[in-house]
Amino acid sequence: MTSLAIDIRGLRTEFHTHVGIVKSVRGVDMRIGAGEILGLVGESGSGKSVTAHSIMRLLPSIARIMDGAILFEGKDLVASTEKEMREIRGNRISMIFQEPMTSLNPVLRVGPQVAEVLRLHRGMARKEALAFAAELFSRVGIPDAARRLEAYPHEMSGGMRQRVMIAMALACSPKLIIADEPTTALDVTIQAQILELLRDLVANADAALLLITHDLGVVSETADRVAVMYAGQIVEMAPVERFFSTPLHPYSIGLMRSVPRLDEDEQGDRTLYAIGGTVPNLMNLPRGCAFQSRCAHVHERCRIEEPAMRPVADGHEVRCWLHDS
Amino acid sequence: MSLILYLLKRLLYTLPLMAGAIAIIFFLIHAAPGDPVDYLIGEAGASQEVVDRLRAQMGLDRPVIVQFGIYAFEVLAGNLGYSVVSGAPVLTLILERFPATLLLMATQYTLAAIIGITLGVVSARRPNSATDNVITFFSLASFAIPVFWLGQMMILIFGYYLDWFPIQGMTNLRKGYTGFAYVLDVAYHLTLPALTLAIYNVGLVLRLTRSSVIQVTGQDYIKVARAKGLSERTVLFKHALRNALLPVVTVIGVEIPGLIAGAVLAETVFGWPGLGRLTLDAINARDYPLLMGMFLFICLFVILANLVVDLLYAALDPRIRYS
Ligand SMILES: Nc1ncnc2c1ncn2[C@@H]1O[C@H](COP(=O)(O)OP(=O)(O)OP(=O)(O)O)[C@@H](O)[C@H]1O
Ligand code: SF4
Ligand SMILES: [Mg+2]
Repeated sequence: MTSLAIDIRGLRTEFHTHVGIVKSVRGVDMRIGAGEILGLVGESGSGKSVTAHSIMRLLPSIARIMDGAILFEGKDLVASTEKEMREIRGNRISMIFQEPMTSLNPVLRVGPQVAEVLRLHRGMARKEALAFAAELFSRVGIPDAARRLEAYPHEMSGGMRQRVMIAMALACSPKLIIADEPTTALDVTIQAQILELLRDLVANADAALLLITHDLGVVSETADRVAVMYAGQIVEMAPVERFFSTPLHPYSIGLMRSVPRLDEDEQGDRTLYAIGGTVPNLMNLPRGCAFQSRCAHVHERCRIEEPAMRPVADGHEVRCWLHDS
Repeated sequence: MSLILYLLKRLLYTLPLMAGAIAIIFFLIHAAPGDPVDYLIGEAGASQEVVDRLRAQMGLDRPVIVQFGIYAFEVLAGNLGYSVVSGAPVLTLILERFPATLLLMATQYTLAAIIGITLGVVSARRPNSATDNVITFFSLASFAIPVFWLGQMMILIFGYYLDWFPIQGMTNLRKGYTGFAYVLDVAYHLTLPALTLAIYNVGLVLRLTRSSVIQVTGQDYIKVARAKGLSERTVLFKHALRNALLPVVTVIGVEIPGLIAGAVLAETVFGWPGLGRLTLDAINARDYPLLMGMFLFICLFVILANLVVDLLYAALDPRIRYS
């Protein structure tokens, strides 16, 4: 890791709802190197999307970043103005969402929707922007690119629409791309194509990628490093080979066991191992470790003190009292 | 499907609609109590002989079904008959009055649409804020106030006490303006009735726009638009509004008949020389040919207006054109 694309320090994001304060992100530290792919995994509700939206500063009005810094290109995004953020969004940091079917405006042609970013951030004229959009379309593997610019979203398949979204995200050569479950809504063969495309494009464009997913298979095939998120915190972070060979956090081990092993023979045990219990209530967390109610290794100390992230090997950190030395 | 083909298909649909309308209107009017002869002879009464002669003249002595056949045939030939009261051709009478009504309706609905959509968007930007609450109160009041009462209040306040606007009619007959001065004079007379109707209609457009914009701004493509770095205004007006207007356009289409009913009331209150007054007079006089002509004309108008609305919808939503 030579230079950092983004450096997030102690990020805390809360939702102030009428029933109470939801602590969705509780002190996240995360660095992504230039050109690196970081896979962020965790169960539903663990705070992956809220982390992403905090970076983009696209949180709903009831959400507030309470603490922390997001250092990006010499600026702290937490302290940036809305105007500064608008110059960064879609330009220096872009985002790909989960639902290609609903992510494009249904009443506008796809070409102009991509060209819009170029006109906004690059000051390109209409024609120039459309020509560039056509180039982006062929780069993301949309056949007959120039003609497809004219299409409306409903005339395209889910996979093609996600390619359009990727073209849009790449348009201004951003330094960081955040992809929030970019393949979850697609069927398996398309999923693999889109992931491969993302990986190649990110490598070529030298952009960093924050790949959010709850699918460890996606992470193992795509990411350089893995961050596991649980109840608003990162509980383990490691290079991808290291993570899959020696996961340390009890939650990571549980996650790993819940992945169906396709290479196991038919007679083998293919039943899913589910982690027992449910995610703790983010409005009312227990004292100590957030995972204690579901952990097989819970002991006295876990219920009193909250563990901190501790380095255990080169680039491998874990938040668990079992590995506190 | 192209827009032209879509238009042709819709035009074809109007033929059976119109045929049905002719039959229903004819039998409804003939089923209503009263008879033009009663009106013509008035309170004084006349001998049975005179009555019978009049009835024969108007063809009222023949069986209803024969009368219908004759009427339908004439209508298809483009002849709506003659007014029993004035003797003038019905079509001429209608076309004479139609521009005034069209002017009033178009002006008031344009006003209502502009005010309603703007306030709806403003309201939706911050739901439940003070601004939203004030606008909501206004829109509910606009629903609840009857047109004729509102019209009379407008006359009282702006016409009588403040004396800013004329109270009755469409032009100042005494001055006899021509050219641009005439246009200004009509606009001056138009202000109060158009404003009255616009206030009455604004509520619906406003409420619909508000809920529709709120619904649309929760959509994924709005999140995407914000993630592009677009300003909130561009997000709202370029990406959200066009989608949000789709349900509004639909309801405007459904509301057109109600619009005409409102126009009849307002025309009466403001002495506006349009179709509303003509209809009212025709009802009082049991002027069958004129009444039927009026209703047929209104039907045709509603059907065509709906066609325009459908085309507008198709222009706004590409998904319609291709399905
Ligand atoms: N608008 C909101 N109002 C209140 N709480 C919210 C809101 N959005 C998110 N949260 C809370 O923040 C927590 C984290 O949500 P987030 O969307 O980041 O989860 P996630 O990890 O992305 O899950 P998923 O895999 O389902 O996308 C959740 O527990 C959720 O209850
Ligand atoms: S700290 Fe304790 S409860 Fe938490 S994961 Fe480690 S062992 Fe389990
Ligand atoms: Mg999410």
